[in-house]
Amino acid sequence: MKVYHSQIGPFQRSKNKTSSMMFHVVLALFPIIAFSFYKNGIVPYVHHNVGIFGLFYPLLFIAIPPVITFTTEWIGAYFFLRKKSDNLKEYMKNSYAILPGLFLALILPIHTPISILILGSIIATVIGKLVYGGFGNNIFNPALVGRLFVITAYAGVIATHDGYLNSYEVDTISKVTPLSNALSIEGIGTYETLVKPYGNLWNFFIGMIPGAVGETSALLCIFGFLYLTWKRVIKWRIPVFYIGTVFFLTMVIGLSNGLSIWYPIFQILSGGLFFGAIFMATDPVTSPVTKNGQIIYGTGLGILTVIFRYLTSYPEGVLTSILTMNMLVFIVDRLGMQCKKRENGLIMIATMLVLFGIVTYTINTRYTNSGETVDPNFVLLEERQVGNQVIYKVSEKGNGGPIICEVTIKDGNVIKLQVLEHNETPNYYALVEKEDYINILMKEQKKLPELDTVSGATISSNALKKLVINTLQEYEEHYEK
Amino acid sequence: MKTIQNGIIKENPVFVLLLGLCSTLAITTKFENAYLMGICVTIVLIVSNLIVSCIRKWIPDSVKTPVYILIIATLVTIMELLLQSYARDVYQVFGIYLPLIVVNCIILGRALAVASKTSVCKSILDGMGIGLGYTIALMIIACIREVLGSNTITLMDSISTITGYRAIYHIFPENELIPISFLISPAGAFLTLGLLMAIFNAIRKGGKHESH
Amino acid sequence: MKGIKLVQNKEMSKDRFTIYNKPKNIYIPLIVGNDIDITILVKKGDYVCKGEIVARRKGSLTIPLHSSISGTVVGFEEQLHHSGKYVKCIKIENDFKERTIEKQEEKPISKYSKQEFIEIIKNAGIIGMGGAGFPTYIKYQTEQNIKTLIVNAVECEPYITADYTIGIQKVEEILETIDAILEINRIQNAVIAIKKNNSKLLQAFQTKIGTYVNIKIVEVPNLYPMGWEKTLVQFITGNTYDRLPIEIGIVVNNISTIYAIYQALKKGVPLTERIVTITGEMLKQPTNVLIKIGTPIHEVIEAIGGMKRTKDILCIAGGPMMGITLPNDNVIVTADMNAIVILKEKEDFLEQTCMRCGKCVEICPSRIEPVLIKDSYENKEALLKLQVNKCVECGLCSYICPAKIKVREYVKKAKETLRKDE
Repeated sequence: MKVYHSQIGPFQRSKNKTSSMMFHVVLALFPIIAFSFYKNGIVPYVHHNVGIFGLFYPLLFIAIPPVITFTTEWIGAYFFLRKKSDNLKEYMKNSYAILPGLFLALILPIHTPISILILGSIIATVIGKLVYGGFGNNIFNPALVGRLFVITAYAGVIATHDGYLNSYEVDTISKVTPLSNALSIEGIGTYETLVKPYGNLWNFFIGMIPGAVGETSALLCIFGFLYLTWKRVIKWRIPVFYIGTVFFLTMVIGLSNGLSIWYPIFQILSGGLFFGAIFMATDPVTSPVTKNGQIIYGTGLGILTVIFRYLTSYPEGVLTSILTMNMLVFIVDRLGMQCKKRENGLIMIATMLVLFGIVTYTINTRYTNSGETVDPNFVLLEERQVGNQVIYKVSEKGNGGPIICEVTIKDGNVIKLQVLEHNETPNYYALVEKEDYINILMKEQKKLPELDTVSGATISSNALKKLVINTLQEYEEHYEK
Repeated sequence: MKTIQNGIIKENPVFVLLLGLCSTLAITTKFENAYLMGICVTIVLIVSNLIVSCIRKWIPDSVKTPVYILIIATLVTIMELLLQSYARDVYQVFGIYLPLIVVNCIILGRALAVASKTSVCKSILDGMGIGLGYTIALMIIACIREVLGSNTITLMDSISTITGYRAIYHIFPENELIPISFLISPAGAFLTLGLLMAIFNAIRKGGKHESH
Repeated sequence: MKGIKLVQNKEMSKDRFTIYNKPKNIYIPLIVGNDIDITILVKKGDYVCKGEIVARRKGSLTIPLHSSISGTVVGFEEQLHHSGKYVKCIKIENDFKERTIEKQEEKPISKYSKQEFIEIIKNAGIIGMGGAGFPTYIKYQTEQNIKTLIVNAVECEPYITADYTIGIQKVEEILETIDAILEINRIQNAVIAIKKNNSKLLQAFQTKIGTYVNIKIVEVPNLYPMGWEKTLVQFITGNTYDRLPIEIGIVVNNISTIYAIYQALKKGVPLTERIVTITGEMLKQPTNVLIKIGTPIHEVIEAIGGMKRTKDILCIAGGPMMGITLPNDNVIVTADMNAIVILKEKEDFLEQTCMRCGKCVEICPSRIEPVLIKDSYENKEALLKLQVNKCVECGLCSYICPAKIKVREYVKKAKETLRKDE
């Protein structure tokens, strides 16, 4: 009686393999590595900022972390995860341990000392991967864990070595990275202050701006994205929605502050957003599996990045937003499953739009709110310009009714203040006149908020004080912006 | 003997029972603070276990908790006053964490779980074991945090008024890797505690998995 | 449309046809679908004619089982069924006389009333011949208005060409039957679904379809699982349903089932034989064979030339995607078995760690999440939210997984977990 073996189907399998998918990612990184070599090695060498060692230093910098992560994972898999011989080889082939190392090298500043680089790689593998059970079980992106550790523990050390700028940039640009620059500018900035110091927006797109070793070039990241989407390796919805959300939110913020389309383009091209969105956020192990979950994840990342960039003192928010959303992937997948139903999908879209509104509103109030709210008791009656003077007729509510004055302002200073009519109680107003409060107001006009009122005629004198303050504010808003 | 060993390993209050983590995270910035806090907690623990165990038969269940807290608060206040008069520097270093020993879950927890149910001898031994476990845990954490975080180790500083010595040593020569300043911050405390807890429990269980 | 273009491997058996109708003994398996609750109507020693009812399924979904030869009931034996289980069978010895109960005369097939129609196809024992094994008469036994009849000639699994063979040979009969069914049941129109690249079958139908105004041919893309009811209905009508297509007024029938209905309506002949594709690289001459129900397959394989070797092979009942391996080739032909595929035994892939790439979620035609089911296949509470029972076990999740994890098996285990504590 013939006996045939049994096997579990299906008996046709696709040609997909984990190791080949990881290989495609490494392949997509090659142009970025080459560009980094050009920008940090060849350009400074050609301009005589570094010697021959400095020419090849970026390659050394990029080569070390993968080697360290590979070794650490090998040792860790043997001891902690108890994988032996064949199992170990299969595991290492699929886990592609050089990938977190490569990413780590590309997102750290060029002047990170080598010893810190090595320690960071070890921490990235141990705390980012092995502690959770090895490849496939980690919650956080290991390269980002490594970077977080290096930046938190050694920010000062790196800064003393000149931080992000390579030797050529220090000489010619001598400023900080574009987003640190944006943070130090007051208000929202203009094209002159944000983009001009680094050239024009093409420089941002190609990547010849200061930044970490490999995350500046948006053009090469897009090539990598197209290649990996063609090969069906990455979850393409995540970068599309991430970058789209950041673009949309910064566009709204820019438009409501009078900045045109260059502003959102500037925002998405700086801070390593493209690199983070295309390579770090799409790490398969730490991102959602469902289609709608990926959309929610990308949008959430965009919202968080915008919040971190504008409302905190960290210059760029990509790292922290990806790590935060990594924590929430479990919930995001559940939400994604619920959103298969049409009503739930619409509710989710509505929630996102409400969040967009809240975020843009909060950020805008930070920029356009220049201090006090408009005084409801203050009325601007007339305004006329005579030469280089502006004569206002204004009214402020006093004790017995409105006090109407004529205020003359020249070059930002009140040069004449005349009370036209008032309804104050004569006894109290007499005190104001006795103190010669009008002249005191004009003399102390730079320090009005702290100025004392006349004791015994508080309300009247306070009304006069507020009148002058509000008029000056009117003048500032119209003539000095 | 077994009870003491139990307190150090199987029921280590910091790594296994996860009690009293508030003062653990805050105090362990210097090695000296760690062992001093450990000694204080151990003394309070032993004495409170002794007293609770002695009077356990006469306290009705409904007023157990307030009575025990009263006892512990009294002991802590006594300790506070003693420290204030004889070791002023130590008192200042501890700050708010000295009165917080009253609500340190270890002491109340052991009083309710062990001292109110077992004999005087066993309670004292349990107190010794738990206290010892706490002290050792704190010393390990503080050692790592201080050595890696500020490149020193403080054996005797605040209590130099009693002993007359001062012993602060630098460990590593000047280099870029150490000190890792963020280990002194609370974030570093959580990180160190978490990793040590993982290592401790892994060794304790010896690779056996616990099934749910 | 969600689906994968698989390597078809149909050339080796296409346009090859033969008949095997001289089995020494037949074994009628006492099973309908998964149900073994069958009443036996004969005893040892009885003489049965070809087409005589020998057993009947109990319950409300009753349907009779017929003998496919004339001969004597020798006894009852356990034989291998294509589901992998051993099933009790009625063993009948063939007297090779092909005697039937009554003379078969031809009748005009569109003159039946709806009730007569349902009775005829019920008594002919017709079940879904595409593999589902569902009694066909139940689909028509509805008060609802049926808008469209979809005739499924897609045959999306690789290697199988049984539907193609019957389609090519019996075009006129099939068209006549479809027309009759439309008239009897007052159905508005019918659609024959054929794959875009199946040019011979398309041409065969397109040349003869001229006179039938209510029947259209729809070309479907060459994707697996286009032949699954839900995907097909969604592609053709754009609508989807919850559990049964009758909810949106649609009835789907396999094309081989339509021919069986023809035999029953026209000649009163019950379902006693079917075309099975016996194919695979390890056969000397892969072909389609018309076999009587109850014939052991090993006889047929020997009759068509046998296998190239008998060691290190896999004997699969069904197609390579949804079929299962059998321990030997002594399996009995039933009405819902459409192929036997003999492949070379290759070493199975080692399962790696799941990298959560999400490809299985993207490809699943039932739109569930196989990877999440795999994560909690033993946890009944978590499974309740994951709609595990929507899985049709098409095998695409295991097919596409880069880590070579057998995801479908985890989903099957999850279904077990849900069934266990009921």
